[in-house]
Amino acid sequence: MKARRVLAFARKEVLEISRDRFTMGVALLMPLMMLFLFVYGISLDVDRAPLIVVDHDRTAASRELQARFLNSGYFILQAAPEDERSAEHALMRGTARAALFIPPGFSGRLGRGEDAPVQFVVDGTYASTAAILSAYGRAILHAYPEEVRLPLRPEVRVWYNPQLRSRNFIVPGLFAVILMAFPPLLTALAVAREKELGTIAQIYASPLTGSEFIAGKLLPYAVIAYAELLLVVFGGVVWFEVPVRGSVGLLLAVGLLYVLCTVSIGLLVSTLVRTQLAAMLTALIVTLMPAFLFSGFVYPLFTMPPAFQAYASALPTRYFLEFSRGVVLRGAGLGDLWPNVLVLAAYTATVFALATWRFRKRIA
Amino acid sequence: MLSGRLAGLITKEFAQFLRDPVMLFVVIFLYTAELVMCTMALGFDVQHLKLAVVDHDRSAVSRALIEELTTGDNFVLADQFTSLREAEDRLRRGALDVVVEIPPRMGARLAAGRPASFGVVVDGSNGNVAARARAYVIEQSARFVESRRPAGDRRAAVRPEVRVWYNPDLTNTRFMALSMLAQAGLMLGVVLPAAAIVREKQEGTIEQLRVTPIRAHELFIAKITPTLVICTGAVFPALVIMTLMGVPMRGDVFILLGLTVVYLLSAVSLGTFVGAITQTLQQAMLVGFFGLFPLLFLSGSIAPIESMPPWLQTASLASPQRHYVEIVSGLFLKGAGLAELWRQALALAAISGAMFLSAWLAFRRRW
Repeated sequence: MKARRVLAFARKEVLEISRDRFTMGVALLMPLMMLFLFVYGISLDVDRAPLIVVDHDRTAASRELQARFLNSGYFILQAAPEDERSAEHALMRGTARAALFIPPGFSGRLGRGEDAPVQFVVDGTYASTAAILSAYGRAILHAYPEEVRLPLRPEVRVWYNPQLRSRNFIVPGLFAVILMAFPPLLTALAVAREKELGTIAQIYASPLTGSEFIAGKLLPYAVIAYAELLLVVFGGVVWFEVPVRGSVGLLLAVGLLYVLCTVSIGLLVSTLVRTQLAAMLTALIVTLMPAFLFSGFVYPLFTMPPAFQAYASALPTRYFLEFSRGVVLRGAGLGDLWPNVLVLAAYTATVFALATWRFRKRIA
Repeated sequence: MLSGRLAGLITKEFAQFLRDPVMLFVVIFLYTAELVMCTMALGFDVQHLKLAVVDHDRSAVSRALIEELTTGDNFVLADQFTSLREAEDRLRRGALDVVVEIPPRMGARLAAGRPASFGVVVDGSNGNVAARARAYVIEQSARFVESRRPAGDRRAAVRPEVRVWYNPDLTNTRFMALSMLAQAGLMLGVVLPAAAIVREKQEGTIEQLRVTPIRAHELFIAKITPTLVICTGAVFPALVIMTLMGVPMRGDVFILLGLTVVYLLSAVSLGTFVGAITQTLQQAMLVGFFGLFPLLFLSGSIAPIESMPPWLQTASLASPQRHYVEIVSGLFLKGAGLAELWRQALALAAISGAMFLSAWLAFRRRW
């Protein structure tokens, strides 16, 4: 592999890319848009879930129970209809997420020293919110009619992210996800385009070797992808004020390795298929979708069956995601996270070698 | 309407669509394998969280509390430590999810009728998991307090009857499968027509089409028909898969198909719009995803809509996927019909209509 030839070829790529400013602009704008959407859009605080209250008792006791729900901070009153039917309709339509049914004679029973049944219904459509809402509902009901302050209370502290600000763990996750979602889409087209336009024959006829070709293709896109990373890190840390407990330098250094990895995956896909569209769709399935779903970004890996944990482990996103969250949230360093870096390095080398090998095979 | 010319054009589009085996594979993959994967893997069943205990009290009460916390499915007792410092180390490495620290003399305080508290530390590096762990602890300690009320002093209590409707075992899988179904339609609906139009531009064949008697509307129809037909058809294998995966269709199949076509219309409109304004496939894909992601994100399938700020909630009303996800979860999970879903259906039709119109105008101007 000769550096001069690689650079010359990379220059040709840069010229081609810079001719299309539109693509460049969108490529840089896209990660920022994702950052804004995810930060503003994902809030895990299950506060303000719309609640329907059907109070057939209408006494001080039933109003007090209702107040406990509304003062907990987890629920807001959506409506207080007279009958069950309209509550059911509201749940069916999705305008309310939970409903509280207080039966007639509620306070009478309590006054006589009998247990009073109260029904609390949660819409299970969004399982994770529903699990949390039903737990809070049970806690409030168990505590009633005891004083608001229970004799024994848990004092729950959340470490590394005390206010459970979702952006604090969404943003470092996005560093990993965005770089796997978009750069491979760009590089997947890079080789397939030459094949489709026939210009690949000129490459075959040139003294350029397989590894020089792949490296030359890789460099300019790696620069774009790294610029995307810098933009997202800058946006996350400066604009959204996500605190970084560990070293930003370390994050950016390992980020460079990760960028090379994701860009090479796109190139590998590109050498495997014939047309640009096929390359695009394949990249969609092997990089974009699993980066979102099977990386631990939103869905924790430990909740998946073993086969899917293995699938997630076969893709590089999870390793950089763990690394990024470790550095940003927990202030971890290389001493804690070196295995992740090692895996990424090995992964990058393997994918690069495979892409080169695939390309050579085509010549023969 | 269906002239020989249009029929010929549509046949050509189908032929080009089906020529590349990768294409059909991807369509089928998204509608079947991806559904299976999501159903099997993305259940989000946050259970058996690893809980460690630092018990400074060592009384009957503290042991009973630990027992209460760790006997259910929520937590498993992973370890016992003598100081929080030791537990902290394990927490930092991610080996633990929750640490419960019980202060000295907690049992004695409670016996004397004085209020007491105990410390709980939750690893916040995954907020989803942390929020659940926190809710579980709060719920279980409320239950613990109630269960330990002395028999003589027993006051009347509320008997909670908590039910989860539509999804009683609280798995995420049904909802995931349904949003994947919607997502596959949107993604393919945008990408495929955009690619079909841009390909003619890149290969220069659009010039040839312009000199034929083919009219703009004929080409427009021919470009969107294969995607509409194939993606609507792909709903059938998806239905079979869903039934096998335990997400049976409870509503009317015809309502599903009809509204699926309306939904796909919005996707292919975006696709043709993108195809009309871009020159290369790379541009088309980037612009396509640029338009597609907000629609996908605002559909509520990544994050619940009510957890979004009000302005994003309002914006989400413009996402066809939001209405379609609500329609399919109504049809599949709640067995709802048009009586409950007409609002969503109407909104979907309005959005699709508007997108279709703007796509057609953009397409005609650039023809």
